[in-house]
Amino acid sequence: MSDSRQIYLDANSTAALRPAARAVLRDFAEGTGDHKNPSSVHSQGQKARALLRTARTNILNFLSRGHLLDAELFFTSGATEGCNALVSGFASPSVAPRHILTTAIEHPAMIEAVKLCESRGTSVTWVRPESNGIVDVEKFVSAIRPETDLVSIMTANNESGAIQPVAEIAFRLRAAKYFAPIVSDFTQAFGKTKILLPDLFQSGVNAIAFSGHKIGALTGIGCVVLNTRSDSVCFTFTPSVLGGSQENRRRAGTENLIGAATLGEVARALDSELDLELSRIEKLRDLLWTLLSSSLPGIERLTPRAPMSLPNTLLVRIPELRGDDLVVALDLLGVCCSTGSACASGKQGVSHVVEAQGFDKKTAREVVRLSVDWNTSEDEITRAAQMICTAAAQMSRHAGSADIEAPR
Amino acid sequence: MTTTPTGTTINSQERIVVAMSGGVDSSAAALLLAEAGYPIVGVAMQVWDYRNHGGNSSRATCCAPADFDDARTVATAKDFPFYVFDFEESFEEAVINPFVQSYLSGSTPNPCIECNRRVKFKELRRRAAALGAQKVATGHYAQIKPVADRLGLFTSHDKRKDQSYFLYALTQAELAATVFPVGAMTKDQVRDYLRSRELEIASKAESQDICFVSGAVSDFVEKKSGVKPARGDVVTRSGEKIGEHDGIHGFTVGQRRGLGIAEKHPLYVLSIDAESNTIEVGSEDQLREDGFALTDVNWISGEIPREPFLTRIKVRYRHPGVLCEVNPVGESEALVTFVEGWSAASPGQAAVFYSIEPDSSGDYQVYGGGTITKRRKS
Repeated sequence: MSDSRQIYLDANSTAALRPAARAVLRDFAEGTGDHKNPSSVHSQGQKARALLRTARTNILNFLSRGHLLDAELFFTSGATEGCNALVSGFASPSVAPRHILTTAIEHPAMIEAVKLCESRGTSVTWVRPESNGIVDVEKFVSAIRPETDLVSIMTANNESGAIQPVAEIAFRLRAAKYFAPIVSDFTQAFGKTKILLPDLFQSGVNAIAFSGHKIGALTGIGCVVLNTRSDSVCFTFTPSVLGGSQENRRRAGTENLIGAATLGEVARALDSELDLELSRIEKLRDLLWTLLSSSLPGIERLTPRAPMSLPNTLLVRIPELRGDDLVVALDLLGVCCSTGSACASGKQGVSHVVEAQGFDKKTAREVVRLSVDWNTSEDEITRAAQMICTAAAQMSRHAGSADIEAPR
Repeated sequence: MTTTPTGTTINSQERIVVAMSGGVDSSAAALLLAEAGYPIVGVAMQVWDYRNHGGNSSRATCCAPADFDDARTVATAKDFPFYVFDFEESFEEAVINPFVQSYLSGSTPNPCIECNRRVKFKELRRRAAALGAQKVATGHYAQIKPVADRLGLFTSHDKRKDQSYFLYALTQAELAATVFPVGAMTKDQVRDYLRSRELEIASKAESQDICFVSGAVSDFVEKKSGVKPARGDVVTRSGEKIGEHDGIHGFTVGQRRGLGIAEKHPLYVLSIDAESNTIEVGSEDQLREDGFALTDVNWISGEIPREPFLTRIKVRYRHPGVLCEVNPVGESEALVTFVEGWSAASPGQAAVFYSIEPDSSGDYQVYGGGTITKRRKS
C-alpha cells in the first residue's frame, strides 16, 4: 500500500533511500559495480576491496569533517549488531563485567545486551533522564563506581530526539580518573547532528555504533568506529562474530559490499550539504510544532528545544488520545508516523523512554513521534498538520461517545 | 446500502473494522466484506505476550504472531490495511486475573466469554470509532436479526459451529455496531469460499484451546498466581474422607474422571469448598439438583423480564440444552429451575438462554445469560 501521496514522517525508523544510494544500486544492478568478494586475491576481488576502502574513507571523512580523527571503522549488519558488539566487545565475555553504567532510555539493542550481562551477575545502573529527556551530567557521573567496567550512553534518543551530553560526561569521567570504556549508540545522531566524532573521541569516548538506513542508505549495513588514539588503545576489543579475518579481524564474515557502498556514497554526498539540510529539516520540524500547538489545545512537546534535540524529531503528547490509535488513524489518512516503540509483530507498546522521563503509563501511551525525512516538503508538513488535527478531532469526538465504556 | 451475508444492512461507504485472528473464519469474514465493497480495516488483537509468559504460540491457536502473519497475508492479497493492537493490559486485567482467581476459589471460569464481554467488543468499538468506523465485524458463527424494534442475537446457520453461547453478554448498542459475516454460512461453505479465492488459509486447523494456556490449566494457574494450591481432602456428602486431591483448581463441579479414587459406582465432584480446601464427591444421583443461581446476567433486549419464563438453557458450550424456568431477581441475577431433565451446572461457567422454538429460518434466539454461582435445591 505504499502510496506516493502518503506523507512520510517516520525517518527515525528508516529514512527514504537517497539518490546517492540509488545510484550505487543502479551500478550494481546494471553490472558495472564489482560485486565480488573483497577478500579474494584476484583482480576482481581487489576492485571490490577498493570499493569497500572508499566507502570506509567516505564515512570517516564525514564523521570527522576535516578534523583529525584516529579511528578504525568496521562494518556490521546494522546498529543492533553494533550496539551488541559495543557491550560484548568491551565487557569481556569470559568474565562478566562487575558494573555497567548506562541510561534508562537506550535503544533495545543496547538494553538487551546489557541485560544479558545483568542476568550473569553484572550490577547495572540505569540512569533516568530529567523530564526534558536529557540525562543530567552530575547525576550520571556520580553513579560511577570504582568497579564500573563499562559506560554506555546514547548520543541522541530515537524517540524524544533528546541529545545527550556524551562528550561532557566522558570528559568528566576521564578528568576524575575513571578509565572504564565509554561507548555510545550513535545511530540517530549520525547524519542528523553536527556532532563531530573527533570531539567525542577526544573527550574520552572509546567507540560508537550506527546504521545506514537511518540516513537513507540501505538497511543491513552499519558501522562500529573504534577510537585508536594512543591513550585509548589500552582497551582490547573482543569480536563477537568469529570466522575469517575480514575487517581487521574485528568482525568476520564477507562484507556487505553493496550496503557499505550505499552508506559511503550517502556520507560523501551529505558531507557538503549537512548544514543546509539540518537547518532545512529543523525549520520543517518547528513549523510542524507551530501548526500543531496552535490548533490542538493541551498538546505537549516532549522533544527538547534546539540545539538539545535532533532537528527532525518531534515527540508529542495529545492528552486523552492513545498514540497507537492515532498512528493507525493517521495511516488511514495518509500520514506515516509511529509511537516510537513498535515491535516486529506490529503491535505498539508503551514507550519506555517516555516512562523514564517520569511520565505514568497512561501518558506514555499518549505519544506519537513525528520525524521529518531529508526529502519532506513544507507542503507535506502543512498537510500532515491538518490531518493530525482531523484525526485528533475524530478520535476525541468518539472518545466521549456515551455508549462506549472504557475497558474495565 | 447493501445487505451482508448475515442480512444486516450497512452503508457500503461506511468503514468497518474487522477483527482478524489469522484463522479461517475471521479471514473469510474480512474477505466477504472486502469483496462486497466495504472499506475495511483489519485488526489483530494482541492479548497475550507469549514470549514473556509462555502459552500457546503454535499455529493451532488464535493469537500467536505467526497467525498475525496469516491475517496480514489476506490483507495484502486484498489490499486493505491491517494493524496489530495491543490489548494485553485490559486482557490481563479483565480476563486472565479473574480467570486465575476464579480457579483458586473453586470455580471453573469461561475466559472466552469474559474476553467477549469485557475486552474484545468494547476495545474493538472504541478503536473502530477512533478510526472513523461505525461498525466492527468478527468471524463468529452467530447472527444478528431485527426482532420487533430491537436487535436479537441468534444461533448461526451451521448449528455444529454455533458460537452464540460465547456472545450472550452483548448489549443492544454492541449488536447495532457488530456484523458477523460468516454467521449465515456453514463451515464447509466458508472453507470452499476461501479455497475458491486460492487462499492457503482455507485448510488451516481449528483453534480450540484457551489462547493463553498451553498444557494444563492448573499449571498455568499456579504459575500466574505464584500460589501452589495445597493438598486437601476428598470427602463424601456424609463427611467421610475417602482420598486426597492436589489442589482444588484442578477440579470442576460435575467432573467424573480424574479423581483417582476407585469406587464401585462412578464418583462425581459435587462441590468445591475453597475455604476448607475440600472436594465433595458423590453419585450421579447426589449430583442432581433442582436448579442453580446466576449472577452478572445480561438481557440482550435491554429489558429485564417481569415474569418467570420458560427457556432452553445451555450450561456448557457443547451442551444440547435443557428446558428451564428462569426467574429474574433484581437487575443482574436470576434463579433457574430445571423443568424437564437436568444437567450438572458448574459454578463459574455460563448459562445461556435460548428460545425453545426456532424462527422461520431455523435459528434460535439468544435472550441472554449469566454466570453460574451455585447449584440449588428448590
